[in-house]
Amino acid sequence: MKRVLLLLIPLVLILAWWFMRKAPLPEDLSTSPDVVESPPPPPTLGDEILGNYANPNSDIRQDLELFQNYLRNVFLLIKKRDTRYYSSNEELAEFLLGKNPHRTPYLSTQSRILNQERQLIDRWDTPLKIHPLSGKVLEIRSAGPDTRYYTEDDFVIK
Amino acid sequence: MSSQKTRRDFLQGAPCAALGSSAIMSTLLNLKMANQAVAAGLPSAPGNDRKTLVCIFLHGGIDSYNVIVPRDNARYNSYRNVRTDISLPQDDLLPINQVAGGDGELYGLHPATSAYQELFNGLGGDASKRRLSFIANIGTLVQPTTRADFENEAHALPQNLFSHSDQTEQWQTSLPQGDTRLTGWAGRIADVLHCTHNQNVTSMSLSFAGNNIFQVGRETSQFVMNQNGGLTFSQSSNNESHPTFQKNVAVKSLMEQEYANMMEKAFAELTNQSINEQEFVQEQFDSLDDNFVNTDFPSTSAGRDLKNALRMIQLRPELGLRRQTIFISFGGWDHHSQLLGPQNDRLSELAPAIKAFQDGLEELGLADSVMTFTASDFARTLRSNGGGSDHAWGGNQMVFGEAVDGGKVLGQFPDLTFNDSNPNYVSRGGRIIPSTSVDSLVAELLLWFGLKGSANFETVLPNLNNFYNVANVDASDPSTFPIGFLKPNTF
Repeated sequence: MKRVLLLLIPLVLILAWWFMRKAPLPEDLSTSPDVVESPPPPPTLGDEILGNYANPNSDIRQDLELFQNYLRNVFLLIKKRDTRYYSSNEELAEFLLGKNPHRTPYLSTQSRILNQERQLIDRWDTPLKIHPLSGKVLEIRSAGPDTRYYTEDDFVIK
Repeated sequence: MSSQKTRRDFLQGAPCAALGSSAIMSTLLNLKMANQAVAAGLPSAPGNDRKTLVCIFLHGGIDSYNVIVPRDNARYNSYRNVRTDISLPQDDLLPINQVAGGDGELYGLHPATSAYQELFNGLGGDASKRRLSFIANIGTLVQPTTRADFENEAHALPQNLFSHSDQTEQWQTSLPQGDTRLTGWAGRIADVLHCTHNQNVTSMSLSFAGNNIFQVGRETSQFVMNQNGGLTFSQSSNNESHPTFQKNVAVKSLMEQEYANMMEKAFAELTNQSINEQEFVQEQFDSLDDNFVNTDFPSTSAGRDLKNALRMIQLRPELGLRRQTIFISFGGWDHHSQLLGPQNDRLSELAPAIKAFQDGLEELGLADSVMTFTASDFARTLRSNGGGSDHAWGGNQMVFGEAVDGGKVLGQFPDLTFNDSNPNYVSRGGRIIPSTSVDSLVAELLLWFGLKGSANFETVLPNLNNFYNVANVDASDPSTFPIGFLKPNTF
């Protein structure tokens, strides 16, 4: 029995080496994230609340109300905050993505509300205007379907 | 000097306390003493000097880097490079000529502000009548702050930077860190000076812009006026059939009843006092007809407000005021969408009104007793957002009057070169860290206004010691002043 085991162990090791050697290696590890599957990031508050943002069956008013509701929830969680962190579109986006006192992302980079430049956008892909009226009130403006700000079809919420 | 109060001192102080005390019992007591004091015909506080501080608050956040602009080629190019499509053409700038003591640089003004140019260079071309100086890059600060301090949050920063209402409030309170019971710095100065300098007939703090935090004191309150005078409660019209007339008569009658309940009695007396003050001020206001000054004021909102301010300054003796603050608001500067055109329109209305105000003061011989300054929520981003500019921080303001050593750009006008290594810029879009604090401006205004003693300065400006030690001031040496815009020996 002992002799059999002594013969089997090297055989197993050789087979293991053989199969590992045959496993396909990515050509470029830096550009092949699919090979190593990491667990999906936990859903953020934004993913939960903004799920229907820019849905074809809703409208801009509903979009902004959704976003406003989402912001209120984030601000409820972050009691100690200051407009200097989020007085523009890009700053607010970074704040929601994790550059906040809790160092917690409340929005994922895959969210429909973000474009590739990490700006918060409306359903026509135009960046939203963020206008801090006070520490508690942000005015949020969509440029509307004409994608030009301060025209009649703008939609504003605060 | 004896610290014991005489009966006369006590009675003189009483009416002032009656105006401000919130405790019902003490108010009742004070009201009784106020009546005694008035009945006794006590003389006014000693001294004949009269001084008025006028705040013109530019609500919305004026883009002050397009009001005063570097004019030499190198600095203009830096300005042009950062402002791009919202820059003013170099050839359109109105040149101003600085005197010694300013920063020695070349500047030009917005083309719609020829009135400021004349106030800066000298009224009527007379260089001895330079009435206006600029204070560069001033803003709300808790203590001196660098870019590293800001980025590392090394110490307290003003709360809610770049937000309208918070920054407006902080300019008016000079308490950017907030306070549990918020008061304005003009209110706090009234708390200190009203009893000792005024006859307590009317409020020291007049507002032509509704209620504001600027003039809220712990013991004193503001008196709100509109362009027709006091806000009328009792009807001046004799139309007895008018419903408002009848309503007011009924309310007044109610207030004149004898009440056994102390709360009711206190409420009735205070309401009556307020009505009487309003009627008294209105009577004085109407006593000067519209030709009380020959200077032509523009028939604009700013022109009317400033002419009424001049009227109330002229009426200081009748109002029993040796110290007075006046608050005027002129809004419409929140130029996110378009800067150049709308700002030109606003400046075209404001600048001639300001010039008329100063001309009126000169005509009436009041120029040496009135100091006017501008303030605003914040400056705006140097970078264009596509035709407009957004909320920023430090900006440029004006101070003018005969006591101002005019013709200077004071403070530190920042290098506008837009790159990562420029220590003046923070955050996004070209926001400049203030290099001069609101406290420094206010402290110098208050030196002129007659505030004395470190303790009083600390009461009015709790953060001042972070910027300036008032004990070091020498009235004959402007280099010892917080900023240096006052002429020597004006306080």
